[in-house]
Amino acid sequence: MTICERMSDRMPSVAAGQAAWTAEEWGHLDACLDCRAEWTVVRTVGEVGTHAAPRTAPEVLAANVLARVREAEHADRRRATTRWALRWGGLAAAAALMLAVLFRGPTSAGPEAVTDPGARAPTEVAFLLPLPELDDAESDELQAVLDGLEAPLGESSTLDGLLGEDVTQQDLERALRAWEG
Amino acid sequence: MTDAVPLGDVALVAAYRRGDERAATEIVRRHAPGLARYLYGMGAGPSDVDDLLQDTFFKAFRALDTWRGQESLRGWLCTIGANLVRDGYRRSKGRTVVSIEDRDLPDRSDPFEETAALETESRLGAGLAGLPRLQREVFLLRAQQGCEYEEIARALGTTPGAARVHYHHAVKRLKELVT
Repeated sequence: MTICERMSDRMPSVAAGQAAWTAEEWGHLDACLDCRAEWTVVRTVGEVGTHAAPRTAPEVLAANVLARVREAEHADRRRATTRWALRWGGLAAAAALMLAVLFRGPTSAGPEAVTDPGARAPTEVAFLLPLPELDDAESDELQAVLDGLEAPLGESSTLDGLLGEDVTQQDLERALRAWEG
Repeated sequence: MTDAVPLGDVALVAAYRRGDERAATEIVRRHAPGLARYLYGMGAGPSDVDDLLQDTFFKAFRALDTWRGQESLRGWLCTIGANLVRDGYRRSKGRTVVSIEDRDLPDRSDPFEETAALETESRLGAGLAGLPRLQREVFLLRAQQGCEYEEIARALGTTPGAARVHYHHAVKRLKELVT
């Protein structure tokens, strides 16, 4: 390493007052135009800004900075809380909606599943009713029952054929009172 | 190269992370003057230096968890400050950057010496402003802040060799202005 290179390396620390030139180096600076020019540049640039010292005292500057940091951290926490609430609120709403859809029952499964028991045919209803007393009935007896069911109300009664025409209203009332005890 | 990191900064940062606010004051006290000079050299106006210092320290304290002590705190702070100067320059489209000729310069007792010094500073200030960004940053970190090339390389995301080349290019161009 030449003396020029060595001095070039040391210039910033000498300019900053952290080191000093030796007698040999001072002698070299007098003789070497290139090193002298570089030293002028480094020393001058080192000095540039020495008068640009902060106008605010370090304690005040630090207090201002820390106040801003605390404010920003507080804002961060607020934002995080809002994000958390939005995220979990959204998830809860989605879960509630999903549960509502799942537990609405089979009537909500689709249009095909929507049924109205009242719309069933009367025969379907009759077949669903347990009537063990008809199990042993003869064909003509079953026919008589069917005829009675299909006949419009008020026109005839299923009892008409069984009781005969000579039974009066008074006879029927007497019979009912006897059954009721 | 953690050897280049002053132990004091590492200890102060650790203390601040533990909640000691006096450590923050000490960090500011230690680095504000050098950082102010650097910001000034980067082209910040004297009236902007205090605001830039506050913004730089604010950003630094907010991101202190990302500083692992592998680069010097001074170099890291200078990088944050340089970014802020650049951002300000971009936002204002270059209108607010003040050249060194327009700034307050130090008083000297000898009027002839003062005139010569002012002239040199003006020329160098103009030359500095005309350097490519990386050359200017490397040059200021080296000549003004006294950073080593390894430190500069880590701060600016380059290699020590490249930092050395940038420095010498900058010196060569600036030397032409004073000879």
